[in-house]
Amino acid sequence: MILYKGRIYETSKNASLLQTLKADADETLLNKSIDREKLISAADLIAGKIKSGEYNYLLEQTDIDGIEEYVDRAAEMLKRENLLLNLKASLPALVELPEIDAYIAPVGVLFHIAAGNVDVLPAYSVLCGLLCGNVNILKLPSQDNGITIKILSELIKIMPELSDFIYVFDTPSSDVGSMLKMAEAADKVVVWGGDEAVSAVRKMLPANIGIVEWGHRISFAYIGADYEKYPDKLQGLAEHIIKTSQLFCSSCQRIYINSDKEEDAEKFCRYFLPYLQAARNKRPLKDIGAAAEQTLIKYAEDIERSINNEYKNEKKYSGEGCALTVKADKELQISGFFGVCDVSALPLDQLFGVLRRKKGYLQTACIIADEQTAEAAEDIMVRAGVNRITSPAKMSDTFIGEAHDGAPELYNYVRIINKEV
Amino acid sequence: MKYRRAVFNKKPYNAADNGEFIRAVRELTEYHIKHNEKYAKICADAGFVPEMLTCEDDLYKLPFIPTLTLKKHELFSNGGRGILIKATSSGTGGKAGVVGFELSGLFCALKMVLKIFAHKKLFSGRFTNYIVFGYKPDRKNKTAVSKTAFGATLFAPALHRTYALTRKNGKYEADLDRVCGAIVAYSKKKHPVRFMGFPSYTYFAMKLLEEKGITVKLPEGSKIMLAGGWKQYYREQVDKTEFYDTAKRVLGVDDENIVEFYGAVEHPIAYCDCKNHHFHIPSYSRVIIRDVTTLKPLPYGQTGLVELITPMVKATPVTAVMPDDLGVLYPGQTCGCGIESPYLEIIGRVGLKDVKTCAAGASALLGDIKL
Repeated sequence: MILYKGRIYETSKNASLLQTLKADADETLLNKSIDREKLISAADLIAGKIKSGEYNYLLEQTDIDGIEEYVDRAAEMLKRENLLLNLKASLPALVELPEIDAYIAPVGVLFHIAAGNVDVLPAYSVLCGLLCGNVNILKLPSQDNGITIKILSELIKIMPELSDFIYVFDTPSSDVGSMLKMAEAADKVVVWGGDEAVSAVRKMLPANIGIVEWGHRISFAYIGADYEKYPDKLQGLAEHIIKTSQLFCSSCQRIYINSDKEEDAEKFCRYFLPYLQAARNKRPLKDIGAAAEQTLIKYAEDIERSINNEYKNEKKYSGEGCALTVKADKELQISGFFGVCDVSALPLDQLFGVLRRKKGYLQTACIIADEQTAEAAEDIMVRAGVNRITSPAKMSDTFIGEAHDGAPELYNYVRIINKEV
Repeated sequence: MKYRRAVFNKKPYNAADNGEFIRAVRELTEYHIKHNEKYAKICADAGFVPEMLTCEDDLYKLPFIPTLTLKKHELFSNGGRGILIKATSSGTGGKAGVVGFELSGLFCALKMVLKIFAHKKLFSGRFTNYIVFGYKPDRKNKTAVSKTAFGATLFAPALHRTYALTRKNGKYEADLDRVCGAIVAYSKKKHPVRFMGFPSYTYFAMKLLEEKGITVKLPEGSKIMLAGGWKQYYREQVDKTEFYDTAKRVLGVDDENIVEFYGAVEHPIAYCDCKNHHFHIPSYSRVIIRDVTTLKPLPYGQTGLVELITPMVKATPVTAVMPDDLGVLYPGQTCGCGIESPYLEIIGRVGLKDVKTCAAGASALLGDIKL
């Protein structure tokens, strides 16, 4: 499905609509502007409707796991006061300069290549573009379940003039010709996705089109030797692992124990497994098929290592629907998903080296340790490239106005215009 | 392999087992470890030695081979010597696994097939018209599913065979219009008609007839035999009741004349449903359901990954395999058909829903090896 100037078209109209896209986007850019105040009111109205349950019928049509967890938070973020706070925190701060005036203008036309990793992300990306006054072209991810066009159509229903600022296509990424046409209409491409997606876009783009990369990231927990003193934090970490199914950039993929002895990692597993099990018992596994696939793939990898003489004996601590594995290999990598987490002993003095090998990918860390260890760990993490430090339970929570991968979220969607006084 | 012989000499169901099965698995595992370096490494790394198999409760200790591994490696024992035929899986997801069979294993398979199908009264001397909802066999097609579908047309002497999937321009294409024409034509003859093949195409053909406003009454003795699962049409899968109702409505075939098979090339045991349409485990195999995250064996009634065990094949170490199926095992007595062995319900396949993640490095886990 295609959403073009507020109207829905069949995918078969892709080629003909792409013929007019650049002209239509430029026409809007030249002659129209978004009333930001009105847009914020529209978003605030939607927030109210979400809270009152008016969109429940829409949400029921999707198969988003654990949607109820995120709906309230989304409504909160769309509230007027929070949008205003986000704008204040995310837009560049202008300083009064002696010789030149400065003001903020939209980039122009943004082409969002959205990833399908979070169901509402494509619509959110467009909303960010709109808040900064941009015309937005969106290529839907292949796994989009229809919710993006529904959300954006709802926004257009409340504020019809936005129709000139929103163009959504369901073109597959393999259709390079169409992708290029969309890119050529844009000033900047906003790409969400893994290394392959980012590299492919970099290769495809002409030099005069900018790129905003929101790539995949990895997150972890660092635990001091005195972890038994913090049952609430351990419970929070366990619930975070189970609640997010470890599918987010901010989901914990490895637990590091401040020790150089593998036995300490094993001891931690024995201590922590009941917490993980309790969290799993509260939230039984929903997507059995996906979890089974991951388990089979990991098991097949073990078999592969045996065949290739590369097998590493790893101690597994299995619960029901959750597991911990002690890994001698300390590299920060994906543990797996759906409640299976790797644990390694990693003394503080080796933390920097391990993290640096993941520079550019580091995102969220939580620390469970005494104050002195926590401060030292935080300093190392920040120096190594970690961008977010949260409590264990809130590793994947969104905080109003927070930066995105270390940068103000909307910074890339605007320009600063200078005019000589 | 005297214990293997003893296992395959048994009646298909309700046969007493005095330890023959576990001994057969043990003797076969010892053989594979001795004659298959790769398999020996797998067992060694898993800390497994055949002496650990003392009773059937120990079967879970035997390392199983996922079909994913068979799609990457030819794991033949004894250097592939003695292999009489090689069968490939249907290759759902693009890759096919290869299993080699030796003469003695094929002989076990033949004994099993004769006993199970005789139990189900599938052999008949009456001339029969066949509709095969599967691939028309040719030299290029080595899949087990095409061979077994053809094999099923030998249960009763064939007058004609009409295939739903025929090769055109190098690719298989379904021609359900032609099949519907054949169904109508065969329904007017006195000879029974047998359908054999994928439930998806069988169902689509019945719906197509219904859309055309055609209902027929197939001659007495006609049967619908289903095998191979719904494959890429899993989204269109209907429940069994809907299927049986449609067969009754469109073809005049009662549900007692609908027979379903379950099996895999990696585990060539013929699971044939009972009168209550349950797949009871025959004397020649065992099934373990494992937890989808920890792989721990699960009790009856819980959904998990299906592990299939049989001491049939000597040429390939497929004694314990794990296909990509999710299932539940129930106690045999809860069926009520008289067969006492547990029965397996297949719930679906793994990984049908896309995993959505933004965790860095996940593509290695997701993109490369999609089942």
